[in-house]
Amino acid sequence: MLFYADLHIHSKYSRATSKNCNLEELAIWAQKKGLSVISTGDFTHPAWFEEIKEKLIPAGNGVFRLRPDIEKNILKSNSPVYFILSVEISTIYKKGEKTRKVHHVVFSPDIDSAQNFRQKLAAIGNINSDGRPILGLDSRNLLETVLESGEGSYIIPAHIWTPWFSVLGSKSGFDSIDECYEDLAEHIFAVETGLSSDPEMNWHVSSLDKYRLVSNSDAHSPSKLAREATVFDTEPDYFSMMNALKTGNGYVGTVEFFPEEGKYHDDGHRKCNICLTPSETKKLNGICPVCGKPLTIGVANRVYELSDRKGDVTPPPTAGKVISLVPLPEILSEIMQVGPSSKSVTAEYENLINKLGPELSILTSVPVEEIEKVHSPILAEGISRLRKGQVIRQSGYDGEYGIIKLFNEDEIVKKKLR
Amino acid sequence: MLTKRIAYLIKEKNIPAKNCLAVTFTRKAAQELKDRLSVLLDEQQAQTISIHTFHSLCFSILKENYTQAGLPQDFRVITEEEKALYNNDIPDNMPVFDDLIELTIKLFENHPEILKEYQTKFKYISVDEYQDIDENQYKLIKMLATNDTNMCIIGDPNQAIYGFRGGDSKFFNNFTQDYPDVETVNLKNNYRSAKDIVNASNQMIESFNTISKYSAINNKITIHTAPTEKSEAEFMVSTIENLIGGHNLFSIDSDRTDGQSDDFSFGDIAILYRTSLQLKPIEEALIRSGMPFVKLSDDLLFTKKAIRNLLKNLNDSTSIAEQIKHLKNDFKEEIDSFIWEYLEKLAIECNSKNDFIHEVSLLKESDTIDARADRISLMTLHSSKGLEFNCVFIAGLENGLIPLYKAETGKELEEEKRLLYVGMTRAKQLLFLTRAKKRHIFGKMEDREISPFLEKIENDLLKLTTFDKEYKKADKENVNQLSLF
Repeated sequence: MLFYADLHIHSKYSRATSKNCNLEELAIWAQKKGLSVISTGDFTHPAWFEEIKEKLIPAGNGVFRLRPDIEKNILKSNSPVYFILSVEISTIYKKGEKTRKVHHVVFSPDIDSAQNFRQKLAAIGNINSDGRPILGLDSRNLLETVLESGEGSYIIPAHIWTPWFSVLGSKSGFDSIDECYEDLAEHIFAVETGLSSDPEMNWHVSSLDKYRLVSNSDAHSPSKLAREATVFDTEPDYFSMMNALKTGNGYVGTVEFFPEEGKYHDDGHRKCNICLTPSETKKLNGICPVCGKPLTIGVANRVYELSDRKGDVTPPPTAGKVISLVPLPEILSEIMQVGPSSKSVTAEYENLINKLGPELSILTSVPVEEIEKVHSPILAEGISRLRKGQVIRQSGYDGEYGIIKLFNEDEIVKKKLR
Repeated sequence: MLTKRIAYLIKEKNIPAKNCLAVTFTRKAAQELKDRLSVLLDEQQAQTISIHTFHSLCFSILKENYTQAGLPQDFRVITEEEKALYNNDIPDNMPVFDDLIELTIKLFENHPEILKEYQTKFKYISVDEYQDIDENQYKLIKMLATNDTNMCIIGDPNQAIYGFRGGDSKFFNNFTQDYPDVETVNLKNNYRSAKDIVNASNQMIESFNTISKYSAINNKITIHTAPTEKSEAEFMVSTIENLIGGHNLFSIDSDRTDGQSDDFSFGDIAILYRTSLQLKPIEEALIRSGMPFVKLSDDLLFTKKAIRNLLKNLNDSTSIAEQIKHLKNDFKEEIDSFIWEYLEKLAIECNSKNDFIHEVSLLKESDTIDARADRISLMTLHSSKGLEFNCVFIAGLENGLIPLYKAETGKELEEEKRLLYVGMTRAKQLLFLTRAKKRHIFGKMEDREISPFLEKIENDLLKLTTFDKEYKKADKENVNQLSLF
């Protein structure tokens, strides 16, 4: 079966997350978005782990679903939302006289392995205060701990290009996956592209050819689910998905942000209001023209730095299909000229979902004629442009999200809603 | 220094390794010395050198001469705490840990021929941290060292901090009188600490026999005055966040840190305090931050009631490993999980209950820590001896804490000052001295005066900071951002 999965999210127990990041809300939003499998996130956190054990029941082959009495109040269709156990771990440590900060997503196939892993971590760090624990452990040793915690436990390096916290990040990472995980690197079979890079950018770095690319939302609130996702055509269970990522068998591809929308795409300084492309940064020797300090080097620049294929590239054999999308509330926000989390956008959003089905279907497959019939010509036009990739891009930089637009400003004034 | 000397004697002067004895203060120091020597020398030689603490030296001498010492062949040493576990049915002739040295001295007194044997064997003796030895340790070394012995002692009288348990730097100061032909080498070059740190600690203790040879950047010493012990702890935590360059995107995106400095990781940082009474607010602030930290306690594991209770529950009916696994449910709340990890591994290697109890009785809390993980170290000033960190915080620079209120006599106050000296000189690059204006002392909020020891430090070495409104503002913004979701 063809389905969407979002394998990296957070609970209410992580820093700066929404209070309603609980299992019920996550399942409700997964349905609105059109996801079949989502991750629990944060399973090392004691309170969250208890919640998981209390509210989820094993559904076979490494996936879980909500307890029937909870599920019946939530489930809108016949196909349930499946959960898999995962947690993001932040490792901060010194290697080669440089401080490294790398984020990893850890996956466990069952409660016992998850419990083993939690126990090992509790002995070396603090897992009680943050759903995404910080450890002073070398990434290689973290991977070893994961592998020892039970068969079928894995790591997928998280948002690998983010400057501050990732395996290839400009500020605190390495130049290759192998350098980070050393002798255990062979146990890595997939990497997460992150919001600020898309597969095409990654194809410029040949050392990544051997990894399957995954995309996830890294959501800090339920409504942000599926802003990126991974597409499978296999059974919606843990082992089939992991096997698909290892072998390609059942792996379809990814749903992506336009990478410019990610908050670390270009270079710059948010405080100085400076956003630069890699070549502009090069001309300025990496120094901010406003404050004179080194610029925050974004993902595009870092990818270019590590790339050994320049210009147009052909996808490597591991590559999947790529669908670039803009979240529906953002499209509505652009058309309605109000904020994406405003009441009117929320109302329109719910209305559309009720009439046309999950957001991912609306964005990718519902015929535009139907969208026009149910909603408006302008939304139909917008989504049709989106599907053709006709978007106006303004890059994100230094923590500031980029903006992707579908219309020029004068178009919006002319075409009134409905 | 000790390592180099021993390696030199063996490699360059062809002294047989078996003739060398090195005595250190702690098991950890002994282990480090062994590790370093096994790199410099070949394995065989390194193994042959006698590297000991005072206790382990005496234990091996008594083992080799158990008959003359009046001990059974299979005698074991027990700790006072272990003794308490046996409820009066203590097996015969089990010497208590602290009696080892006296027993050895007695053995030597009663059997001069045995002493002679060791005098002949240990022709080259090195003793580290000589300023902290006590009467019995002094006696033992005096007996072993004859006129023919080549002896080298290392010590710094400014770092004598064990007066309260019998250590006395007079033995160090009298060394030149005890032994006629002494060559004194002053190690005045400090390669560890930056210039201002060396100068400030010298000024503080009014002793100017060291100079900094540290070439990297120099930073002024920060003296931070906080309104309360809670904000003192918050200052430390936010400063550490800045040094690490932010530990999560939230701290960077919210401008809590600028993400620019990336030279420090958790293992580079130590927070030192005079007494564990200061710990609570510091631990709470660190826990809130989510940063990994560890208390490096020099206390024996045995001093924990839960550990003693755990051991009382053991018997020899099934394997120790099995019993430990079984008991885990009852004790897991009371015993830290890193200690459990350690005990579970240890249990597998132990064949009997007594075996296990003995092994545990020798353990310090700090021995049980998984060295693979990098963490912020928390410890008392006493425990910091012999260690070094890129960045050191010393908390509670207040009259009543440093010096501790218990110190009254001039001698006691001098020892408190030396203790601060030890703490300050642990820092390589950055030193933060913090204090609170008000602090809860035994449940009562009290006004606090700054430590008088800081008076002697010249102002141009210092950066004085007080509770910074910026932090408060930043925190408020964080709260607002959180509620935006």
